[in-house]
Amino acid sequence: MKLEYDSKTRKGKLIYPEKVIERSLGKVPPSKDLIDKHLHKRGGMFRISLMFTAIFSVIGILGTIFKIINGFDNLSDWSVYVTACVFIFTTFMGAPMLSMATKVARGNWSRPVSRLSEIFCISGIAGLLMFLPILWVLPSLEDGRNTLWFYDPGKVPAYSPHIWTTIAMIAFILTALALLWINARPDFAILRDNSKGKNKIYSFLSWGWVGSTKQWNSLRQRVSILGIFYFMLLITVHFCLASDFLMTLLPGWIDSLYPVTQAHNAIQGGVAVLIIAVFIAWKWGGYKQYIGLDQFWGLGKLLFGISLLWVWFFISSLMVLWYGKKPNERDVLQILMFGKYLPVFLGTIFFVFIIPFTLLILNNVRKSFYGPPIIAISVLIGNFLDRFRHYSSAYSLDRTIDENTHRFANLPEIYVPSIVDIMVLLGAISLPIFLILIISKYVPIISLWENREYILYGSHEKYHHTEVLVEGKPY
Amino acid sequence: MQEHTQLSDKEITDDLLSPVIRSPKWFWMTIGSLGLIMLLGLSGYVWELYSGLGVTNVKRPVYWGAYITNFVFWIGISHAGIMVSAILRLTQAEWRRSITRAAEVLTLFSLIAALSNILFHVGRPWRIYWITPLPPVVIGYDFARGIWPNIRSPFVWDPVAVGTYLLSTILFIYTCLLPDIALVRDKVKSKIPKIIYSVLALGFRGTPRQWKIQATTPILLSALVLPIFVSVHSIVSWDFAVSIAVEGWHSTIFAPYFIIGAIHSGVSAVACLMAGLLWLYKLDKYIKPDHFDAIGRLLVIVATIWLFTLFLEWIFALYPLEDPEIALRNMQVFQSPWNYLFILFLFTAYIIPVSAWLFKNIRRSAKWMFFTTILVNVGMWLERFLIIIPGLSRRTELSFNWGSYSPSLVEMGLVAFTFAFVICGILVFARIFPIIPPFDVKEGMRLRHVIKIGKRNISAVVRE
Repeated sequence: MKLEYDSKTRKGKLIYPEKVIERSLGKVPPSKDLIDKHLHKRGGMFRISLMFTAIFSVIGILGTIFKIINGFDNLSDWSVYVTACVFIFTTFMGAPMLSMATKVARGNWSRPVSRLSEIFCISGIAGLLMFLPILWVLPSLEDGRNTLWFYDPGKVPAYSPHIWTTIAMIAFILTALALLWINARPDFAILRDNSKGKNKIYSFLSWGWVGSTKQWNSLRQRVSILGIFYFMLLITVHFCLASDFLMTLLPGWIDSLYPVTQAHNAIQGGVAVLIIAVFIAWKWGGYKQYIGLDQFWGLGKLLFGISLLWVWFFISSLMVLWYGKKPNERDVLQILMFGKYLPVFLGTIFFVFIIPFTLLILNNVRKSFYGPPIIAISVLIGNFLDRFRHYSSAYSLDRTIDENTHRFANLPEIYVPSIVDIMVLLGAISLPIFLILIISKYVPIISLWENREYILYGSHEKYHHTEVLVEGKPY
Repeated sequence: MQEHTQLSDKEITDDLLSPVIRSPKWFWMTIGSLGLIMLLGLSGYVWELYSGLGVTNVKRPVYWGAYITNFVFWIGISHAGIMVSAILRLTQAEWRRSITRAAEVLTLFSLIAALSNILFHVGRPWRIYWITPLPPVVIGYDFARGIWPNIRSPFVWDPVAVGTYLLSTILFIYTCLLPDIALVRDKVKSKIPKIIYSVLALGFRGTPRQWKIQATTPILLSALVLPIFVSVHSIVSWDFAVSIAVEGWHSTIFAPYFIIGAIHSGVSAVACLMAGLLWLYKLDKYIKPDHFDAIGRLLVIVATIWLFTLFLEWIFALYPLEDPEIALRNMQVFQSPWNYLFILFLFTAYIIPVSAWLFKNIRRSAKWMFFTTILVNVGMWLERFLIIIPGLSRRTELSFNWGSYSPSLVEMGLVAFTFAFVICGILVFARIFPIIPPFDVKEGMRLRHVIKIGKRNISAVVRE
């Protein structure tokens, strides 16, 4: 195939699949409408959202500065802050998983929403920024607590959890960003050739994409490999966060399943936050002809399955700790579930499991535009309560042991957030949304090339007395 | 799935019904050999019944031995059917069509094999009904003695879960089998088989209403059977995990760890069975290298997740730095003979097979998949053995006796019995009913499509 684009000088005309197809078929037009939608000036709603999230992000940053001024010594003061930081990782940063998983499973239905899920990776920057002060909050291993690093003075660094978690987190965010960029390169190339004002930026971002067969093959390979890495790093990050930044701070909590549960929560929260984003794009973003019932149905089914899996993880842990009845296990159950945090625990169960289960079991709810988003909000509330229940109780625990019973002398009271905590919370939710809104100005929220493939691979044909969807499975 | 051979309905019917209409040459000889192994195993069991459990090496302090290991192993294998059949059915994976029946049948016979191990293990099998709550009117004697199942005991959850799983599996297989039984009914000529197939077909004639029910029932059953599938091995894992008496058992990850392990060994067993059926019944038009490739890729992911759960189990066992737990892990990894078994387990369950499956040529070869999946199951049997035995045989602070354990001849005979029984059961089933569902394959042929994009023809499938 003769290339009309010179990658060295980055000049010339693009050849991307739809144009190749256009030539061979002579009838498929490029996605003009999607390009126009992306390049046109954003509406008032977008600007207002941007402004509010920017203001709340600044409030969050101020809250963080107040926290830092107050010092790092009192763990209890930081409990909501840590909860908010981990909440980012168990919601926004779980969303890109959908794109990776459906690409590996070759699911066609998710193509219109895969870019939206990838865009969430930018929220990792907000998570990383919030995580940095926590490195000063977490004590070094010299305090004598049990750790998964099996601390040995002189042999194992006392700051192992800090070092390895930071490395894992940076690798995780970079992998997610790399995935977004690799997937978006064909779109950047399309925009380079179609935009007037931003073509220098798009020319740089497309990095010489001409749509050759070699480039397409390499794109698919890279996405598969990076997708697997992304999944492994997601597990690693949650393993580090859940063990070093949570479980080791609650003496006696030995739960080998919890890191997996938290990683699973991240995927559940990711799907929930994605459903809300898809709803916003459908309702107010002007993408009604691109996002259909199929996408809400698919995401609803996924959320239903993941919610069932969550309860299985939860019961698997509970059964073993409940029947074990060792003193440390009874303490852990008292602290996390049946003691002062009982209302939070019941709220978690209600929002994360009971609501999704009882509503999503109905196909009419799953296959609707409004059902999955409402349930997704419930899941996000439950997800936050779950994080609060775990992190807040571990960070505000009085570790004094009763000499007679060998159990904790005082169970932690429910931590009541201060004004500064609420400022931090507002910032923690707003900053990722702000970043997502900013990036959506440059990256099309519906992938141009995936949408084109979606249209090409699916066709409605007459089959005996009815009409069916014929779905192409090219690889 | 790119590989495809378009076949006519007649070809499919002839190919898939031929093992049912007439026995292959090797059939009776194989059944005879397997029968002999079963007979030897059963004679050992008669001896055990007569002499008591003393003929086994299950004695203080190792009260759970080869039978329980084998029970857990076969429960694991039984997860193959639902994993392959129900999940692939729900996700509308087209490549499932040729392999679902074999996987479901494997589930059925492995569940029976698992349950038989419980009978072998208990000292007085004639009192097995004690696990069910029976009113005094029926069994007044037992009730009067105050024997009433404790519903808080995992040993009561076990039969409930496994029994429900067995019943739902039978229902699942039978429902999916109806159109094929009707087909056999119409093809057989002998009078008695015709009557039997007619009764079993429940009047299936292929009316639009019957087909509509036939299309929706397996999907509904798949969704209903999945929670049972998850509960069965979770409960088996809790037999161990809810106990704090034995080191190495009390771990919260046991349920997911057992389930993932079960899927690993079960799907491997399905691949092994597919290769066997391919050779025995010459089914190369229906079982393609693409099938093995898909299963191989699935197994790489499943095996790696399983390895991660194993890692979590180990690291959280060591994390509290408790001496008994460290001593147990030390024994498993550094003391003979456990260290040899541990190395063998790691190599056979993960390192060799997964390294092999990374190569496409190996994944697409029936021969290589057959051997590598057998290795997986050797490894997974050893895994269960290493979970159960070392913890029991270790010398603890207050133990007055301790020691190693190796299965006796009777135990080995009965373990061999279960393997022979499962293979024999599948072969007999394949002699009576089609092991690849003709109606499902025909449906797949009709739903295949090709769409033209530019100059290329893309393989496609019709979705309703």
